[in-house]
Amino acid sequence: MKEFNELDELFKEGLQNAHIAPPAGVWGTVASSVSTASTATVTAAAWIVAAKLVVGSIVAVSVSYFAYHAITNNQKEVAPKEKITSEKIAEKISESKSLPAEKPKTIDIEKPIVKTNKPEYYRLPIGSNEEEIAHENGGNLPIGSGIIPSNLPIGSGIIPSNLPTAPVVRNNQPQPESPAVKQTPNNPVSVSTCTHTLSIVATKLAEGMYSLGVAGANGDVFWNFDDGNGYAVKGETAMFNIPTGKSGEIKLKALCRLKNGCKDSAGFILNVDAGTPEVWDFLTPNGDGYNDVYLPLFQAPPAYFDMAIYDANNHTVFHSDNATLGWNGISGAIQCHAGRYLMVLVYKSNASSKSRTIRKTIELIR
Amino acid sequence: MPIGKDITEKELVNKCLRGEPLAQKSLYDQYSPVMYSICMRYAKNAENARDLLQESFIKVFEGLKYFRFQGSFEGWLKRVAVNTCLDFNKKLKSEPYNEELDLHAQIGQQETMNTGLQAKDLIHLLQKLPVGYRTVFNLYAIEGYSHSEIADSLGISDNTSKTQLFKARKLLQAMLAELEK
Repeated sequence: MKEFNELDELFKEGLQNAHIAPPAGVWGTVASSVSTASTATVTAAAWIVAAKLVVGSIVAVSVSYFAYHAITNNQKEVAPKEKITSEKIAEKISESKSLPAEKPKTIDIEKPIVKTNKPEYYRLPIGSNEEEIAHENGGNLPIGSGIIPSNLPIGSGIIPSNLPTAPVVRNNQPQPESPAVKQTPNNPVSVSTCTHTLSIVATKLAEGMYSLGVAGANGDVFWNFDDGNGYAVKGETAMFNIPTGKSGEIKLKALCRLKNGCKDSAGFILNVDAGTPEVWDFLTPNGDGYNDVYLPLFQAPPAYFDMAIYDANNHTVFHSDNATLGWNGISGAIQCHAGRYLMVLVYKSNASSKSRTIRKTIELIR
Repeated sequence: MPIGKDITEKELVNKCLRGEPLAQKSLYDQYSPVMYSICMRYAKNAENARDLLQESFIKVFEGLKYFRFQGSFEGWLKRVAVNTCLDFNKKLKSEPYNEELDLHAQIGQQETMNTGLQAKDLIHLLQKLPVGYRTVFNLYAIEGYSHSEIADSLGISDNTSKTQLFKARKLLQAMLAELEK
């Protein structure tokens, strides 16, 4: 019967750096996903450019049309006058007496398509949680998403101007019926159709780096990274990097505008401990200035630090309670042999009341 | 033109970021064996491992632009794979954590092995463990995490982590003893 430490060693040695050829066909799926993602990005960018071109064209045509009419009317006004004779004056006077007074002639200017009032991409009732987002975004929705420009005209053909009014939904629960959400032919959304399905899936890619996704989305998804910019990122997936020096709770929120007109939201709290150190698994004390000393790297000086290095016989070869003093591969006055050692670090960050322990096998390479 | 072997890691990553398919394929070819071995360790079977490898690489290519070359690239890739596996295992809530194994029945189906256990044999043993035991054993014994770190990442208590590790070791001991007979 193997002892526990032998068992651990057996698996660690056998599997830590194992290489197993993956099955065929995985690359094909990965490649298609990668190319789809890049195509989607290009397509989105192309649509934005196309939308801008269409809007620009409409504005240009409208302005040209308006200018043309204005010029034509001016030309009519300045057209060479007929020669005025006393007979013609008398004739005009008699006409004016016999006919009803003619309305003052106005220049018939066709209204330009561009409206200057507030964008109306989402006609939302007062009190909906969208209003809260509008507030967070400084009154416009959703600025900075990079997808929908904030000055897009209504009825331009890019975004339908007859979007249904979304029902009032707070905290994903259907609200009591109000005039704003009453079901009418123009407002086909029913409160009872709003259900909570959204949830956030966060994957830690690396220290401080997360891949975010949502499950249960059935429409546009917007992300709020708790950075004061509101729901500034659009997409079913997003990357989130913890800002340098940030610690404590970070409330990540996702909001989904469902295709049936409802909105759903989900939250995710990241507890950031800025005191987690970066640790390596080797040291090379050869005097080249690289990895000569083994010392965990803290972003901020820890409140408590205790690091011990043990050799294979469980003898302490190094101990330090100073976070700036690391191991240089020497024990007392003796140069340690190359090989594996166990590092046990106990530390407490300033932001945390709980001490943590990291155990790591490190390789002394000579 | 194939990507040369002398290309540096940074050049390879930069080429991938520019969307060069050959570089992406080269990165996959270079690192997929080590990532697949991680996925095999955490997954219940080869099919799950294949899905996890696929998902890991999609995340790698999505997240590549955030890699700042401040640490080992291979280490970063391994972390992506481990985290993907942990997320997957968290979703397997339906599988009981204290599942008992019929060791005789399962080990009896194995082929006779030589005295030296190969990586695939060890993975085969790990895959027989319930998901909770397997995850904690992997994190503690192979990745070198402490119980408090395991507890944090899995959302369990330190004591649960310790218990699961103990049970995982006991089961593995029993399986190895069966094999040695």
